[in-house]
Amino acid sequence: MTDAIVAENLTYTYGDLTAVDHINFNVAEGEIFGFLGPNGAGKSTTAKILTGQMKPKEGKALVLGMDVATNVRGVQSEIGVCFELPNMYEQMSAIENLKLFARLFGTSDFDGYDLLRRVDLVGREKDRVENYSKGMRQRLMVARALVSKPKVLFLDEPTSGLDPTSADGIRDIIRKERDRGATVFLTTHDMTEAGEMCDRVAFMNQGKLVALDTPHNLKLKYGKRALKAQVAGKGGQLEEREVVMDTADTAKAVEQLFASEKVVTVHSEEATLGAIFMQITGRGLAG
Amino acid sequence: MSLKRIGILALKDLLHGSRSFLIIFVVIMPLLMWLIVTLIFSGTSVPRLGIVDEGSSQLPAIASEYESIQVTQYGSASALNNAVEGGNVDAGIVIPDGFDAAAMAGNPNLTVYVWGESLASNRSILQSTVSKMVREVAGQSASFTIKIDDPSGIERGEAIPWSQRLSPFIVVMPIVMGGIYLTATSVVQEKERKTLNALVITPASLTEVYLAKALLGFVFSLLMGLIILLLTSSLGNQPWLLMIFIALGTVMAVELGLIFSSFVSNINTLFATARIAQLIIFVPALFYMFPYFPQWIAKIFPSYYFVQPIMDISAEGATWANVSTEALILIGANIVIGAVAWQMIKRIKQFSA
Repeated sequence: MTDAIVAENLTYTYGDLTAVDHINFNVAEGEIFGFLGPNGAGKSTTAKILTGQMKPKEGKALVLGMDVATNVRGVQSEIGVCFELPNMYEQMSAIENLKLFARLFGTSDFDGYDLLRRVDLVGREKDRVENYSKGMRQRLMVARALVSKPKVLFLDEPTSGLDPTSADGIRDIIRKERDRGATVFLTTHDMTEAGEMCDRVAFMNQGKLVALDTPHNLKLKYGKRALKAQVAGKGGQLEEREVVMDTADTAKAVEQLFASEKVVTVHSEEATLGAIFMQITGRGLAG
Repeated sequence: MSLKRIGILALKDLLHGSRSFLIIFVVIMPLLMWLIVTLIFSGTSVPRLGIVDEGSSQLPAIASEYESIQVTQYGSASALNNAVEGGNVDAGIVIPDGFDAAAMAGNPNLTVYVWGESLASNRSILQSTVSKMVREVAGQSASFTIKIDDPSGIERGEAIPWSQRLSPFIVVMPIVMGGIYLTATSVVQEKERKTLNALVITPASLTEVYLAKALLGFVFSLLMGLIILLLTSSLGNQPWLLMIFIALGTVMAVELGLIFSSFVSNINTLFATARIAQLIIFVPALFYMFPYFPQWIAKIFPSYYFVQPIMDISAEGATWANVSTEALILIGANIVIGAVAWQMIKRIKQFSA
């Protein structure tokens, strides 16, 4: 499998601040790659470099084998970008927005209604975008990113602020794009989403890439599995007990728990990507 | 660079751009200005002719038979001169003793006074009417021309009527509004709404986006400039020459619009800073309005080289020979300003892509 995206020693500075600090990674074709990190970690700057919106100060970015710095037009004709904040033409209708971008991309077999059907906007296609709800705008943004049938899709928080049904719809589209053969570069705060959808995830913190692997491997490597139990206390109230798994003493500790306490409920708990991120960086993903 | 993409983007702006701005500032405001100036400074008054007869000519009697003009007789040339200077009549003629005989001999000699602020249309009517009257005295086959002197001593600048003094503003306004503001507003709105980010990750380049804005600003400004000239009947004898200068002036305004839009990121800042551009363009019009100001100052401003020729061609009937120097200077100024605009856009590209 060849690489759709390659970042080699990628660096970007704003004055004295190093926003992206010599990072290296590659994304295979057809992969859903999660790019995680708190605000200000350098995710957006990296995405902007990869999409040709900014030039790296050092290093190289390759998309589909093309150097973004020297062949930005070539790269941009093969990618689709969904921005975090809606930036559609508000005075135009959904279908007019899509048609405009299809013309700019020179998409010959463009079917705007099919795209709108996929994001559940059929029936509202002739309404001005200014009359759309936040969720509708977000779905339209995803549709716009798909106008050119891109080989690489850059999605920045595509499900942010959406209701669960709409978010599921977007995730479904992302999977279908992957099935079509597209590579997906997904920037998100949603650890559950990243864990469920991404083949691999990368953690960014203070401009550096601090971890990169499959969600499963990260959980194995950094996560702490545990048994969470609720026991009846002396006054009848429920109390929490935790037994760390995967240690030499786990079996003994479980036996002791059941022998010494009145266990009411018990369940296993896996480490979350959020907890792993906090463990690695010492800071939360929210900020 | 793709002309097709520039066309797509310009069409998008035309159909879905800021229509309210377009209509208010580029269409309504210049038309409103024209209407106000027309209503205040123009009128449909009957041309007024003052006559002094130093002999016993038939001319005063013939003149009184014309219903299209209003005739007033004065006792002396100095009284007529005062009446003309005071604007009581649009023009006055002093008929010397023995005029009729001289006219019949083919050698008529009239002294004509003209009020500097009279309407051009009134002057024209009076000139043709007096010619006709003299012909009646001399016989229909007589052929001559009337040479109008300006013996009243009214300086040219002081005598320009206000309607004419304000005409540069009326012509320049759509050029400024369209060229600077339409172009710049269109770019800045794209920045404010972040739609510019969406455009530049398509195969369309930033240069193509800016050129599309410039194209729309140019076409609209040019059209409005021409419409205003048509409304004010100021196309003159050389409409193509006039169009060249309006086009060159519009190019300058569009270039200034591009410069401002390249470093301004919101509409409020744009309107505040673009006043500098307005100043650059409007100052020469101000000097045209007050001709007793030192005119050399106006020549410092590049817009002088399209404001003045436009007025010279439309009002004075200037030809290419009269305005060719201004045209060359204007082209040079446009190249320099265009180069600055190009550098500014290039700077944005270096910052972003």
